[in-house]
Amino acid sequence: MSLPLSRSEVFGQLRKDLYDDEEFHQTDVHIFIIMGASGDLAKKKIYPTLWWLFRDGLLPEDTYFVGFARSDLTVDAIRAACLPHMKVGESEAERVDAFFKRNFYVSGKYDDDASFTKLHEYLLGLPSGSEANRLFYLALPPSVYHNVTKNIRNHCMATKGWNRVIVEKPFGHDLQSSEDLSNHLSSLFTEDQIYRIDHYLGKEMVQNLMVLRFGNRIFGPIWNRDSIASVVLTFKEPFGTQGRGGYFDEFGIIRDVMQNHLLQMLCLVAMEKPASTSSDDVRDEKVKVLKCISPLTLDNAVLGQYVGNPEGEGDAKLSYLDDPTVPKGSTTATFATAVIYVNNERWDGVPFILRCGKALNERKAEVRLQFKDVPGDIFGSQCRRNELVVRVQPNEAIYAKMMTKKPGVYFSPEETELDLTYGSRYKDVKLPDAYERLILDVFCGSQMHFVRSDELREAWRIFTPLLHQVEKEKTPPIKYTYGSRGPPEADELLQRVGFRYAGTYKWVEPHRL
Amino acid sequence: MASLPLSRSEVFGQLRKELYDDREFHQADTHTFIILGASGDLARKKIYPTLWWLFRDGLLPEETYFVGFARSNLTVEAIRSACLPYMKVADSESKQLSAFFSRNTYLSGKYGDAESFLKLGSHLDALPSGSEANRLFYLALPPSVYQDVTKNIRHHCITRKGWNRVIVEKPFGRDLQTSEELSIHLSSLFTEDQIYRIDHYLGKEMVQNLMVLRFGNRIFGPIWNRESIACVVLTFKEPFGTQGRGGYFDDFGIIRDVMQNHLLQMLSLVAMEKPASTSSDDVRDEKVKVLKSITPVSVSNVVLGQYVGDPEGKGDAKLGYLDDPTVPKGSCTPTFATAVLYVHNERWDGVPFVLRCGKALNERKAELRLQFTDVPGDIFNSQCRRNELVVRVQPDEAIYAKMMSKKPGVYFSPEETELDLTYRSRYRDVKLPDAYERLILDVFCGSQMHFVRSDELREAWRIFTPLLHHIEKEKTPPIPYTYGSRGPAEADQLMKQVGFRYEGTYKWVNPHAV
Repeated sequence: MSLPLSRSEVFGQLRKDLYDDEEFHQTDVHIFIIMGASGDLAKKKIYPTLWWLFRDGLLPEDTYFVGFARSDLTVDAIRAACLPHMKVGESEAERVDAFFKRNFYVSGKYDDDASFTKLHEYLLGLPSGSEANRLFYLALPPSVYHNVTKNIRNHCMATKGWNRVIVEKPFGHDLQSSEDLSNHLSSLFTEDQIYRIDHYLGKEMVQNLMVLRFGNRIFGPIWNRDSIASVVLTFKEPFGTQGRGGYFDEFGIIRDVMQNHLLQMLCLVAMEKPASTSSDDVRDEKVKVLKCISPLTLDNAVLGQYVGNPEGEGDAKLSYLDDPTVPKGSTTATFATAVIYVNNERWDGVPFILRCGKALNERKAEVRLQFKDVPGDIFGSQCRRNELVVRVQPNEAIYAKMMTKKPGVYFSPEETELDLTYGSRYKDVKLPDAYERLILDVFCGSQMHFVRSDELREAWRIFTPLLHQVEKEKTPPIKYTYGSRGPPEADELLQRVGFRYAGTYKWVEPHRL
Repeated sequence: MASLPLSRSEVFGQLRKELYDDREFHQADTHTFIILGASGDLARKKIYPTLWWLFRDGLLPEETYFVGFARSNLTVEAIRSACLPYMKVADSESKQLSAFFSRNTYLSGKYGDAESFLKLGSHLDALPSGSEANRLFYLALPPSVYQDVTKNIRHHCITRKGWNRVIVEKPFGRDLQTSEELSIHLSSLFTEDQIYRIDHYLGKEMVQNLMVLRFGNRIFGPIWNRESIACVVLTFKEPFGTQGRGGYFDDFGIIRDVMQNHLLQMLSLVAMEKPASTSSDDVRDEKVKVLKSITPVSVSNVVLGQYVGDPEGKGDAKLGYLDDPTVPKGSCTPTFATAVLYVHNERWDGVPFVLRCGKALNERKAELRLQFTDVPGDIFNSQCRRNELVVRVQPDEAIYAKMMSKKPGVYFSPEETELDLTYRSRYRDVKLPDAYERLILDVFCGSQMHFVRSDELREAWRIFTPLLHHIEKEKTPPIPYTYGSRGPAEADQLMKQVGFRYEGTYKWVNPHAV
């Protein structure tokens, strides 16, 4: 099954997978509108992603791309700006031309009705433009969200095809502001038209959680408070803000990572089995998990802010507060560990530990289930706890840390692992980027990997009280050294709630045979 | 960390600690290892070589002497040259090899003759510290002389100061009655803790691992039962036939040769409850308890086969079992058997344990396979296959869990994959000792966990004797199957009928291929 497939085979299989039993017609015309086409996100992420999908034949055949922004630009200018990020192979020159031939650009003002009327007419003027489905990608700063969405709704909606709007974070900065935005959006669009991106939901291993949990009988009976001692969700970056701290400082690590990415992963780990794999059945279950979580309190959290390591090199010498774009004396957290409890029948009492931070010792995102000790041990306390680890990045892998007989003439237990490392098991399989998957989902009308309004509301409900408290009291974060594991207080918190770190296990790279 | 190669002294140190700590074992004691039947095949091919490997690796107590005993008028030199081809001696080891053989002596005598054993007794006493030495008697003998030899050992050769242990090899009888007679005879001479019945499958790495896997891992506890397991399959397959040695085999047949001992032992280890401790008798108590819950196999739950030549095969593959000149004409002895057993207890009620074994099949393989039940309330439109946990005993020791994962890439459908632990890639530098090395070492240490106790043996025979008697009385003709095939199709049908599901969609992919 892991043999490389030809492109037409991939396409055929994918079509079957994605479009079967859907009201999706491959032959329909689609127009993908990038609002904010001149910005960083468009240049570095959206145009390149559209190109990869186009190149791989994954988009419907008749798809046009229309950029919209304030600047007076041309398609050629956009092409030149995007090219460094598009990874174009030498053999693909013709194909790039074909891609950009389907690209158009319209300039206008975000708050100007006339500009949007002009855009609409432009869209209508494209081949089959009046019947085309429209996808609006809002690659815009929050300040213009209100106007742009209103103008799209009032002037740019397709009347024959469908309309879908893709929005990027930030989705507000607390419960109130997020609710304001959601209310505004829902006054303009129905929920099934709104696609809120959390790019973690586009990651291979995050998407795999559903299949792993609900496609395997072996995990069913142990996925609960009887067998699991704690769940740890980790996101670590080895670098600091590097001159971009001004933007980061408005949000902090909790809004940037914990409230969205980590909490989404938590939902997928903790949710009950949905009635089906349909988007709303899945999201219903995710919301239900969030509803069982009470707001996070400060005694279950450790906040940190990195300081330079005098012995480090380059950026490692610099503290967060040394970033010239960061306000003087900022108390914004660059590190956070929080312990959350899901008060339902499956998870009562099991700590869910969310850990994230910048300028740490490694780059890693993973889900780790630590199982309880074997009751009635017969091996003289030589066994360590089993763990099931899903490594999201880097080097996607699933492995079960477990005990085996020490090989040889011994009879004592020792730690080993059952392993599925994607890099070795699926050598020839290309794992698409999160954005590729997500944009494809929007074409297909699959909302499973997008955040619904009620999910968002619950997520903010959990974190808003803590955020308000630390911002009001200007709680000073604990200093930790650039390149370290973070404040020791975080490890102490983990230990206090029951996570056990034995320090005896070391991953051994399997030998090539 | 733990898989780094250790120096020999480290290995020795660690092993000593593990094996001998808290025991009444004194490394400095003198031991005498007596091989009865020293001129035979088993001694030459297996026992002497194993003793040499243990000696070479420094795993035996320092003062150990080896004494061969047989009818033939032999010398240590003659034994040495007979064994040498099987001993895998490296060029650099010639000095050690000489040291090994300088601790060897040989004595000839008659198995039925008290005089001969008196002589052996005096010989043992005369060795350095011989009268205080612990004595290990290895019976590498045909069953016909068992009674005499054991009696003579008991009366003339045991030490009063050290301990005495007797190692016996199969066959342990050929049915419940004969096995009981032998056991009663042995227990009239020796206590149970002096008797070490070898089933060499209990010396295999992965069989020994079953205890740790099951009882050292929290993840397996809640799923190791009838709620989660649909079927357990225990397999032993050989790719070759009897090749001119069918005369011996024909007396026993595949059920006695493999199923009643090796496969049933594995079944016990898979099915047993957690013992009170890892002490030998606590473990064997649990194994016996499993066997007690198994009713005798009925003919309707068995498929028997006998291989026939493959006209398109090469060499031996052209020959059927009955073509072996040493096999009696028209023999009905099965060379293949599949049997379904049920363990009638709270954990396993209704779960079929399928035991499969045979010669002249399509591959060499010994494995244990737990097939789990379907996921209840499927949400993936029947695209999921059943999970399986496989422990491969040979060749290429491995543990893997067949499971479903999202098809990598832009897909969302489930596809089969595995969580893998292949020993060769994970433990490349670790030498896995041979089953006999482990077992002989166990005898030195007095650990009986990996040996068959009298009551285990009795229960095993109780389960298979009615079937064996029935087919032997009725001369039930086995189903012919082609050399090199999977065995009779009826066997696969039986498995399917009791609930094993074979999809044929899964293919192992070596994740560690370069």
